[in-house]
Amino acid sequence: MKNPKTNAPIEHLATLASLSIPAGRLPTLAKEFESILAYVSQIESLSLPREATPPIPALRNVLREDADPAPARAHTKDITYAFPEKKGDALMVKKIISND
Amino acid sequence: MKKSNEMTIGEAARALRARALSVRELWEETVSVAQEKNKELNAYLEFFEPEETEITAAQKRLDEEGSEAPLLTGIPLAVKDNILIKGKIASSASRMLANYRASYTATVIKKLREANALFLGRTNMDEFAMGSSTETSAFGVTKNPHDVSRVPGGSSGGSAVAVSAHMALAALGSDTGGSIRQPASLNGIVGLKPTYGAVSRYGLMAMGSSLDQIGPLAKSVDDAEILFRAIAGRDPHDATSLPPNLYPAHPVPQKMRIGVPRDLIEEGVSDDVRTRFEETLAALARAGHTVVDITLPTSAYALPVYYVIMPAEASTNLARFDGMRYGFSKRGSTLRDDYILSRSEGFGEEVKRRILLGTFVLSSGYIDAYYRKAAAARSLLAREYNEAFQKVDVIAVPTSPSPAFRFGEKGDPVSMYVEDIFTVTANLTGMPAISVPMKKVVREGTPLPVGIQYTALHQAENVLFALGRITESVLE
Repeated sequence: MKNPKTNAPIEHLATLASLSIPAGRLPTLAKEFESILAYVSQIESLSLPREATPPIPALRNVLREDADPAPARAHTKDITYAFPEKKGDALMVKKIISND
Repeated sequence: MKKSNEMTIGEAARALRARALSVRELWEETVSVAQEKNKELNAYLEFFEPEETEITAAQKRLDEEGSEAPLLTGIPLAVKDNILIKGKIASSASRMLANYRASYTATVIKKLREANALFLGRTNMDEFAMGSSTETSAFGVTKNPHDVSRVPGGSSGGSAVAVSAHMALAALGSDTGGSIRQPASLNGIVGLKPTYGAVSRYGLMAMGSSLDQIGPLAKSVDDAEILFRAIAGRDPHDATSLPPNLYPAHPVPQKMRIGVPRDLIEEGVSDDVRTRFEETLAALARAGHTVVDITLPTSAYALPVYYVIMPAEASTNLARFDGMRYGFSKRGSTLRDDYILSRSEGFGEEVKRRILLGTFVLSSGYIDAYYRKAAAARSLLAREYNEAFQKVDVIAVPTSPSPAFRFGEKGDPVSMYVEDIFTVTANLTGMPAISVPMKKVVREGTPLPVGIQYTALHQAENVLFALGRITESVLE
């Protein structure tokens, strides 16, 4: 992957990321990707000391209690207005499980 | 008297209290200039409707409270397009969110409203804050007011230009790898990236969640401090926001010890920028401060580390945009087609590039070599900085390696990424950093601003503001 000779790795990544890259754009993107990877691959030469115990950060992401919920439907209108396809408050998506 | 739109926050606050100026006069003069200049500069994507109720409320508060009113009362501010104000469009300068109206209000906006500050409009930026030139905006480039053939920096380019061209008294930006400080440097203003967690991220569109911070862009260090103090504080809506004294207090020393990692600036910095940097250090030394050479070996790897961690987080954060609940939506024959079409047509090229890079560094077989190694290097970097701060009070580098460059000049992604080489470290360590203008450099006969960046320990913004003020003073 470091030196992609074909467009296949980029196409595979695009599939993983739910993107589609036009065929005409793939060679340029593969070249740019190669250049970016060559740059970030510098970290391979960095030697890291082995630490017995990782430091505990002063700031830790402690989740708050799940308390004081908003009243039912308090924000429904604000959130559902932007649904691209909806029926009332229901979000419409394509059927993905067939009954056949 | 100066035109009101050209005043600093401090000057306008004094004029408002002395009744030499009304809130309405300040608002109207600033809006009028901003709308006229915006035709060329494109700093604003939208001007908000006149805030009649808010203008009246701000004036009433000043009349009733006088000097007790907050300094930001009645002050017109610009807001980066990735900060939410309920009911108003917030697009992150992306086609994906071109018509998205925020369903809630960011904590920083709520705090500023409590101070009766006013909001002029939303400012242009690189799409989803991914860029260093504002060229990746889906809504056209923003031009640098010092030379309109040059970029304003980014990603908060619109906010920086709004302040620099007196189209706002100050502005909010966001900084994931230098997006406040670099455009501040390129526009000759002050920009602060606060300590990670000092300012709530609630209502900021996420790019790199462990890196993002909202901060001020302002005409002076005093103004940056006023705006920072107004938006800072613990927020129950952001579990990563800091209590006030999580880190030890840092008294401001009378004489600063300024650490300079000279090995990092030996190469890749324009000669004239390096000269301005050395002149600034010499002026500080003449004022009695001590300049100390230091080494930060892992800093040489900071940019590659950043360009692993940031895209990893960005690709994860941007997975939410799928054309289902909000934003750009395009339909195909299957649900998966819906996702792919919506994302592929909604996102611009740089955003897609970073999503692919993030997907790669997190993918099975590469996560250890890239993401996990970068995360470990990030810890080492923070340790090196903490050790350096046992010997010095601040660390100084040029904010960016060069002044504003021309549109299209940095065509390949890596040359653009290198713009962030001195700024990303503060985001990786979570430490605060400020960019303060130095004397200008000249390119093709045009004077262009450049900045010096100071970094300090976590929650030591007071040290940065103190040295920033000293810098303004010694360079006068």
